[in-house]
Amino acid sequence: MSFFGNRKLIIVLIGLVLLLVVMGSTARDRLNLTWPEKFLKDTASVVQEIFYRPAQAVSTFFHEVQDVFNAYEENRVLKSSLDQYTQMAAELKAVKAENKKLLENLQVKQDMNDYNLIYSQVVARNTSQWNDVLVIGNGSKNGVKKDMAVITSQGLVGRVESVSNFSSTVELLTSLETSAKNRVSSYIITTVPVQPPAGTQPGNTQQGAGNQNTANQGTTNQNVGNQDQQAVGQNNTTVPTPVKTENGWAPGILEGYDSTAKLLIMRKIPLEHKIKVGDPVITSGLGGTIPSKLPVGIVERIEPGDYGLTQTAYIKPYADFSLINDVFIVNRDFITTPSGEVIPSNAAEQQTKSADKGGDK
Amino acid sequence: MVARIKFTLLLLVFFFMESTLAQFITPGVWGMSYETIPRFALVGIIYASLFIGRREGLYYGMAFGLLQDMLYGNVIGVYTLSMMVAGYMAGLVLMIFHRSVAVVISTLTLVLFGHEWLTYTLFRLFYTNPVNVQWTLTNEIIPTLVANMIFAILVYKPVRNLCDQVLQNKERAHE
Repeated sequence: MSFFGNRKLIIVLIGLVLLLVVMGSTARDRLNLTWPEKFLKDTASVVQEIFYRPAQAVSTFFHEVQDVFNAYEENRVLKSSLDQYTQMAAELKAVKAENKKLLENLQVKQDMNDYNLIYSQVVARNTSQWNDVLVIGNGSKNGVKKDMAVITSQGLVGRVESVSNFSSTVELLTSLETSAKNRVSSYIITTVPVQPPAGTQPGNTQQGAGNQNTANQGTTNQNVGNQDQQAVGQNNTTVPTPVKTENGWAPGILEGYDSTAKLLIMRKIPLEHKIKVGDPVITSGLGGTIPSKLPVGIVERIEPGDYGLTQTAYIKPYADFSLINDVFIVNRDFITTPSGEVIPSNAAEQQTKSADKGGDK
Repeated sequence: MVARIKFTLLLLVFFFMESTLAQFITPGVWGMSYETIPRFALVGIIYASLFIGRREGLYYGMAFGLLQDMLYGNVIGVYTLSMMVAGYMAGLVLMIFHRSVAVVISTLTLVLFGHEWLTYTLFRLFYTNPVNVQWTLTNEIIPTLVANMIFAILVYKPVRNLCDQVLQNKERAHE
């Protein structure tokens, strides 16, 4: 039994070859979308919004009904944590003021934490393991650019994958696509017990640990490292108590998602950092377009990495990926070039276009 | 002609429902660990292939696969290929069996399963940290199959009527 005549077979073969050519040419990282794609995406986003809003309204109604039942219990828990919150807020203010003063004294000019937020509503979501994307209702006309970080009120969720005029596509961190683009450089904030000066206490283990601590300091980001070293210096001169802890910054790269356990995977963490379950994870800001100190999640599990040279941490994200209705796009004011300069993002765009091809985001 | 436009519009509505309405009723929203991927447009395409003709299934599959690729995907062509193949294969069943409700339902199940399986294998081929087959089967492919089958049964009657109208018009045009 032959399904195709001879002529049909040739047409099918030509069609397949054309399809493969299209696949091949679109598979690589593209800076801009072509105009038919932009047109199609913008048109579709309008239709999607018409469908999405009423559905969202109905869904929020049901969730609100659910909330009413939980209100009493929730209220009790919130009340108890509110007392802590006011205390924390006061402390944070004091620390911020102090930090600013110290930074001024150190004459640090680059701040990797400067950003503006662009609010945007989600108009569609495509759930599939390969390609978990959101379509949002703001595009290049609203100042959205490719590779900007996208957060919800809870934490980091992804980055802008492509932009058209009135809509853009956001690739979520949970997307398993093979591309090397879905990576975020981040830090795990570790709590390291501060070692007393090595001379005062005997024992090889203590000394080893002390060395480790200094190695720890050496690899961290300069900006933070300076402060850390200062703080450690101060602590060492005062009376050392074993309970005293110091924050370390363990660098690593968020790449990949474990869909069975619903955890993000952070790889390439140097072995000398002692990570504990429950340590918070933030973005580092070293990649360029994503600012520092965006909350990502907490460490859930630690494993030795590939070849035993690094560690791998599994991170439970703060953000709830199951239903996302509103997002903020993080517009970083300044970005760092691979050479380490900090320049305004407009100028940087032209530079990166010509110079940077391999830097991770 | 009117029936044809109606049918195409219906498929478009299915397609947009996938990314919008269906997102609010996924099990994940209600705290379950199952994941369902809505494939409403594919259900419509399989019906087109069964009730109008497999050539139609091929064309509709190509068009909606391309739409899916352009709107959500990075690589254009993956879904174009998979949905095109799924649409055509569904129609081939009629070369062996007569059309009956049982055949329609088993074809739907098989083709939906085959489509999920094809995308999973493609993804497994390219991704370096593969997800467990057993887990994918029980937590993703089977729930997806069940959800889409429920949808397919719900829309069976209206879609069937529309398809029959389209086929009648087509035959009248041939005479």
